[in-house]
Amino acid sequence: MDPFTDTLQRLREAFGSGRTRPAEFRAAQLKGLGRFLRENKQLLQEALAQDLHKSVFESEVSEISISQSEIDSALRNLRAWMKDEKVSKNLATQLDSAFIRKEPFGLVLIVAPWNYPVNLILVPLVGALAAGNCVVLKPSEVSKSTEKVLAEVLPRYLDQSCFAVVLGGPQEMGQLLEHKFDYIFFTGSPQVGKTVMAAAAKHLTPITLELGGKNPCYVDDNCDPQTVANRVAWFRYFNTGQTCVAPDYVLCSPEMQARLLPALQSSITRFYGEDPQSSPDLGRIINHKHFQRLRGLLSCGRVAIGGQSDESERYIAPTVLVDVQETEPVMQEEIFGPILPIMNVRGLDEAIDFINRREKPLALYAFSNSNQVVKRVLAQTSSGGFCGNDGFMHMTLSSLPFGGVGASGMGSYHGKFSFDTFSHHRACLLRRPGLEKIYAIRYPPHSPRNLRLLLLAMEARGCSCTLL
Amino acid sequence: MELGASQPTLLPPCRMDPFTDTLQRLREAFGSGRTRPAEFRAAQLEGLGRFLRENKQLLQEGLAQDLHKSAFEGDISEIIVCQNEVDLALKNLHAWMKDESVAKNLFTQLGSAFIRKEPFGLVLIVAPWNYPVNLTLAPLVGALAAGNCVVLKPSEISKGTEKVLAEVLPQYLDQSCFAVVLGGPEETGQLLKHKFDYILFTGSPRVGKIIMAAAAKHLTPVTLELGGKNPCYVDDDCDPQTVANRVVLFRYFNTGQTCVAPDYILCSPEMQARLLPALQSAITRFYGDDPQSSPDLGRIINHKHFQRLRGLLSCGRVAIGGQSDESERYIAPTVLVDVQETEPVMQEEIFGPILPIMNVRGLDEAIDFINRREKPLALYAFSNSNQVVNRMLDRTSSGSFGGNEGFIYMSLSSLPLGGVGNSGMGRYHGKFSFDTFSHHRACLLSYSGLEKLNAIRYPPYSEWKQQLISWALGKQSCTLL
Repeated sequence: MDPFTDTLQRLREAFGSGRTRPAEFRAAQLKGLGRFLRENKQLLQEALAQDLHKSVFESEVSEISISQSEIDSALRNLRAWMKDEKVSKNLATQLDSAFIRKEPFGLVLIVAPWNYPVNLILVPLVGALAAGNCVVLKPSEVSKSTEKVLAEVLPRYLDQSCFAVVLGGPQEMGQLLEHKFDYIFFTGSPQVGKTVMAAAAKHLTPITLELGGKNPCYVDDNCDPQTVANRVAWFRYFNTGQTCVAPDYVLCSPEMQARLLPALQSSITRFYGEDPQSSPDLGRIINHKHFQRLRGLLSCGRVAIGGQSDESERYIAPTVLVDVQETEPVMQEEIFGPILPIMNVRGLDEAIDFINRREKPLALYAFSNSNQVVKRVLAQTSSGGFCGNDGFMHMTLSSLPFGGVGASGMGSYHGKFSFDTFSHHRACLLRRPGLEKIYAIRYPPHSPRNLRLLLLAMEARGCSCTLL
Repeated sequence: MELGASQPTLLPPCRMDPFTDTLQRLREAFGSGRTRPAEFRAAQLEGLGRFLRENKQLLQEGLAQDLHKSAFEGDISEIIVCQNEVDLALKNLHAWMKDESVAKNLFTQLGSAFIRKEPFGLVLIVAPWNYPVNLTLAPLVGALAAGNCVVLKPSEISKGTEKVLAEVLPQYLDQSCFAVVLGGPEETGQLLKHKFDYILFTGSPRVGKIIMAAAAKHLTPVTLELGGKNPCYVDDDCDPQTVANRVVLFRYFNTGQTCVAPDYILCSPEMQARLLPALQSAITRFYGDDPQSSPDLGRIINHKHFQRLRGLLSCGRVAIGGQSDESERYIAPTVLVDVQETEPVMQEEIFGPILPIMNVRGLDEAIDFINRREKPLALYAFSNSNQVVNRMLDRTSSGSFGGNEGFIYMSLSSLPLGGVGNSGMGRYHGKFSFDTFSHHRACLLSYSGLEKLNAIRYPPYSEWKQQLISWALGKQSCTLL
């Protein structure tokens, strides 16, 4: 009665056959993925427009290009990443071959959310394929159009004996999670993250959880309000605010707030025009449930900018709220929409205390002309990632690991971190079968002399380099 | 007491929990930033080093009491290993703590991009009884070096060592940032209800699941060092005596109570015939004609495990050894043959001085046998042929792998120690410990100026902007540096 058993069985057998191990196979899968993106670009753009009213620009820059980049990087580096990694030896192991071998885990499950339904499913997929795993993809049923493309078109570009897309809602997810996977990669809310981890615990399945939270954005008095407003507005309203790393709320002094508000209004008008609802560059809320939720948040504090909404389009205007209480819903849940509350603090220390009283966020932002201020925020807080004087640009660097900490998640990926996430790092030591007389000093009966020699031989680094 | 709205609040259940105050104290200490500076961490590590040096005899006595561990084994597999880890961490602390610069793309060229290592906060280390010094202190080194506050929960089963760790060790560390907590399964259950920022657990897969489930409630990341049955394949093409020497050393070390010990042998009947006399010879040379009187052979940790192991002696047929002495919890170095896969000795991790031999008709059958079972913590293959060893390596998976050798790789802190699948997740030793107990925070410090340059990102969007940005994002910039 479980719709997944056969599929999973099939994929396990394929993995057991060793099909996904050779570099050639993995490269072929990655190239297939690349072709999928290139040949279906328009289809994907249409789907993203349908699901989120995502502009071609945003689709390109934050979904398709990024995925393509990851594929290209994986193809370029595949052999280097797959290579056995030699490690330094001590005297005792001098004649041995000691290295770390990267191995696929086996059957990997990737569960993706609806806000970046291409990026957040394909980028992890790149890592899982490059690492040689068989993969089950579970795209979000909420972003229906993209789900359709992923379910119907994507499999044609990959070896379907080693890859499957499964569909469904929370109930099907629950059924799926009862099965044993060798790795689970989940992007979504902390609440569901706990469910996934609890399910994984039953099978001792390692996991990466990319979760969320409220990403603080500290704005120092010492800054140029217009520059800050441009950057904050862009990153807040990108994808209509439905971004796990978007600045969620601003912390600043009342004086700064007074300078920031007109600057924010100016940015919003320049970006989206006098009537943002008619701007082709502003998206829409994913569905009715979230629209209602966000419309509810509009009554928190006081609307300083925006505040309009249109249910027929699931449109919410780029909004800024002020006079907000910490206990109000807009400061209690991750906003995930085009609403930016401003909380007042009387300086850096109060901001840092405010941040540290709360769960560790996925991202943290600090704007100041003073390097010292930025560095202090960095030094005295913790978060998945951090950017000083900008929004989530750190996401664009595949040389930086992307992941959370505390309630915002565990594990990381992007670039080589993806490959490493989906690989087991196996410690290997190969010794020659001979030379038994040398190794015999280890055997009982033990003597103090033997012990001394052995300890010398086991010492790290120190003596070994001179003998090489 | 009057019921109603003005009723005084009942004490919440957690108040009766013995750990709340301790954990609160440690959290506050972490929040104060005390553990962050390199000097503080180095002082803790130096304290740990002094603890090991000044209490070597006390620790050896604890180990002898708990496991009849010889001074040799105590030194080489417990005390010195920890000392080496402390020294390595002290030597490399600043290097490990340093921000790690990373390659930038065109857009981030003018900023600085780096990975910052941060402590998680409050770390829990739960240790087992078989290497009660090593498996408590080696993780501790990593947790301290990474700047965390630490709660240690040593095993209550290795009582002699537990006492030293609980009473003496804290004197060498800053007790506002470090605590030892004691107790059995019930107390551990209570402890796990609390929120930790990282948990490192060494123990059985069964308890590993409980730990991970408890961690899930708080989204606490974990490293689980578990176990399993570590296969040891012996090819026909080998020198039986060399193989026997090595297998015996690693099987009976610590009386077999080692998570990475070879658990069972896979070989052909012909090889078995050659191996048995060689195994007997090795055992006699190592432990004498009367192993019970050898100072180099340990004892079983407690009565429960002794009974369990004595039960296993009736599986298959005893080819070597088989004697036991309940008054000493002594079990002779034993080899079993004619064992069925369904018998208990092939169903559970042995964790004792008993080595069953299973017959297979060649490498392929051995590989199939291994792959039908849970992924083990360690896997061994003995053969004169490099090809055979490499084929075993290529077609199986395990935490770690030894070719023509036992777990000597444990002495290399440049190799990660950890399991896969049922044998665990995560790893540590050396720098891997530091990294395990650190959050790797992605950092980008951009310039607050040059807004005109950044403005090309903003709406209203246009095709040329889009192309420029896509191009700029794709360029990882090493050539421009």
